[in-house]
This record gives sequence, structure tokens and C-alpha cells, in this order.
Amino acid sequence: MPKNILQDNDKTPQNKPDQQNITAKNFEDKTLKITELETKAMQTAIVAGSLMISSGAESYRSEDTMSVILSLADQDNASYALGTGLIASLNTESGLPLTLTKRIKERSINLNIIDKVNQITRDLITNSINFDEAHKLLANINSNIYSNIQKVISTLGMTACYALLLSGSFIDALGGFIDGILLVLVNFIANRYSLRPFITNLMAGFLLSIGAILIGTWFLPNANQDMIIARAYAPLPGTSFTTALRDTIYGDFLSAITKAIEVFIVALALSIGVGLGLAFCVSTGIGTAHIGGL
Amino acid sequence: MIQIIGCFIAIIATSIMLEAPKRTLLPAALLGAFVWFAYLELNFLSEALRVFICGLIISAVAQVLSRIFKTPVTIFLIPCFYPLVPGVALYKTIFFLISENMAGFTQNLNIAALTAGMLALSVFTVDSIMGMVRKIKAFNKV
Repeated sequence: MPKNILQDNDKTPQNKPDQQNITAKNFEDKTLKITELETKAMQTAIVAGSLMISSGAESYRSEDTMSVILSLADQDNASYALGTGLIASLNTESGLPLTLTKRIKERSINLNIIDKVNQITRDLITNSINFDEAHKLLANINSNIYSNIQKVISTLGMTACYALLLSGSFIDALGGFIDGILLVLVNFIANRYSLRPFITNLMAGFLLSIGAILIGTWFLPNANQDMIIARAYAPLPGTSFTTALRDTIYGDFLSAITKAIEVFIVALALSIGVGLGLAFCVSTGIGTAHIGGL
Repeated sequence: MIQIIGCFIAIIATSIMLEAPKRTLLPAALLGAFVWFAYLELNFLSEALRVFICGLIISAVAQVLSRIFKTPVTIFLIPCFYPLVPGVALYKTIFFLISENMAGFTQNLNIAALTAGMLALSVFTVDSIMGMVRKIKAFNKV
């Protein structure tokens, strides 16, 4: 009896043994030859796709970009992008598929890179630049178009203005401005020692809550807890939360889950940091927390 | 009025932190400020409907802007959604979870899920309509 099980299964109509044999035979007598065009298209697509994903573009956008570049070599291609890596596959002229995989470990949001990659891809498909030029442009994308001072000012402005936006008073905005200095400090330390995001957010939550309580107790007694929340806005990737839902609706469930978990971890780190800060202030008695209104 | 100016500056600041291209700073901030004004004015509606309408405005105008400036829609969507995205609700959710206040936890989790769901739904609506328009145009050409 056991002998026949495999044979029986092979003969079931769903498995279509004939077709499988034909496909295998087709591959057997072929050797993989990759033309120059195919190599260049593949390389450019992988670089463009990984730049897109590591700058926080949606999965479908990265897949579209790669497919468009690959179709310059052959219409028969496939690309698959996740939040943490990508796969691109292309049917070569010799009849065998060429497939490359790339792992992406560092992710952030950088809209400038998304814009530049999009522009280069557009130029490439309208033939206004060739693959070599595209490759050079992709390699030389300037990731920082704003100076550090501009970024510091915008961080301070953002913490102050989100307090205003959440119907806070000017005193809250002033408190937010002062506390923004702590956020700049945290960002500086995180960049200097390349800390992991979890530690950075934990530190941010801790320092910012202590700062907000001290300011609220000693300098600006009329400021309220909107300040702390305004601060929490900056590192909180609420945008990733919405992007995760957009990915869900487009059917990219895996990347949606990746992003949703990222959001959860960041929010958790921030809250633990804030909780530690509150406990520290209350137990040492250096400030009184009036967070009850939360 | 102060809130709208605050929103305008906040969006420019956020865009700079997210490294948005310089040419998109002003239109994104204007769009965001206008939507925040609409959000404040529509206070007679329920929270979910308010967010949905604001999301519709943002994504529709962002589609037009992205065609004018020849840039992906995301570059306008992300900074403009920042004031609407439920960052505060999400933060409060976890805060209440840690402080064992289950009523506050459930309430804020609901608000966060509702707001984010409405934003996603509005983007999806506009994207679907744009897809339909594209198909109709292609059909008429043939």
C-alpha cells in the first residue's frame, strides 16, 4: 500500500504531472545568459526599490517603480516589496528567470529621496537619461537637504506649534519651545551614538516628561499637560499607523503588519519613558505632576 | 485663527524634519492649514465624519498637487495628515494601559482606530475614483 500512495497522488488531475514535466524540460537544456541591458535594469530596479522602502514609501509604490524599470528590459517581470526587504524577478532572453533579493534593515521617513527616485524613474522611462546616468544619480542622492540648524529650529517650532494646534495657550507654546530643546538633545545623542529606536524613544519620553513637569512646576505654573503630548507627537509615527492601514486596504498585509508593530513598539517605548519620568519626579519630590486631566 | 497659524508653521516644521523637497513646503502647509480650518468649522458633525471629510479634501487636493508638481502623492499626504493622525489618542491608549485605567484605554483605542480607519478610507475612496477616471479615459481613447 505505501508504495502506491505517491503514484496515486501524481495521477490526480490537480497536480497536472504532464505540464510540470514540460516546464522542467524547458529549463533543463537552457543556460542562463544575462545581457548587459538586463543586468543594468536589474541593478537599477533593486537600488531604486530599496531606496524607496528605506525612505518610508508604500509597498505598492516601490513595486510599481521596480516593475516600470524592469519592463525596460522585458515585459515579463515581477517585483515584491515588504517593509523589510524586496525581491525582483526578470525573464531573461535565454528563457530562464533572473532573481535578486535585498534585505533592508534601516528605515526612516525621507520624502526627498522618494521624490528624487520618482523623478529619476520618470526620466529613465522617457529615455531622457540612460541606465548609467540613472545609476550615478541614484547613488548620489543627497539625503540631507536641510542643515542641522534648520532642523533644530524646525524641531523647536514644531513642539511649540503643536501645543497651539491642540488649542493650548501661548504659555503652553513657550513651554513646548523650552522642552523642544530636550528633544533636540535626544536626537543629537541618538545620531551621535547611533542608538536603537527603542532606546531613543524611551529616553525621549523620560527626559521630555521630566522637563515638562519641571517647567510646569517651577517656571510656568499655568501650562498644562498638552505640552507633554505635543512633544510626544514628534517621534510618534502616527503616519506609519495610517500607512499601515493604507497598505491593508491595498492588500499588502505583510508590510501593513510590519508597520503596525513598529508603531506599537514606538508608542510603548514613549509611554514607558513618560511613566518612568513621572514616577521619578513624584518620588524625588522635585515637581508635582498634574497629569490627572489626561 | 492662532490654531490655524500654528498648524501652518507646524506642517512646515514637520516637512523639514521629514526632509520634504523645498518646492512642496508651501503648498503642503497651505493645504494642511485649510484642512485644519475645515476641521475646526465642521464641529457640528461627529468625529468620524469630520476626519473622513478632511481626509477626502486632503487626498483629493494632494492628487491634483502631485500632478502639478510631478511628485508622488505621499509627499503631500504625510505632512498634511500629521495634525489629523491619531498620535495623541495612540499615546493616551498606551499611557492608560500602563496606568491600568481600562476605561480610558478602551475609549482611546476606539478613537485611534476610528480616526486612522477613516483617514485610510478617505484615501482609498479618492484613489479608487482616480483609478476609475483613468480607466474611463483609456476606454474612450480606444
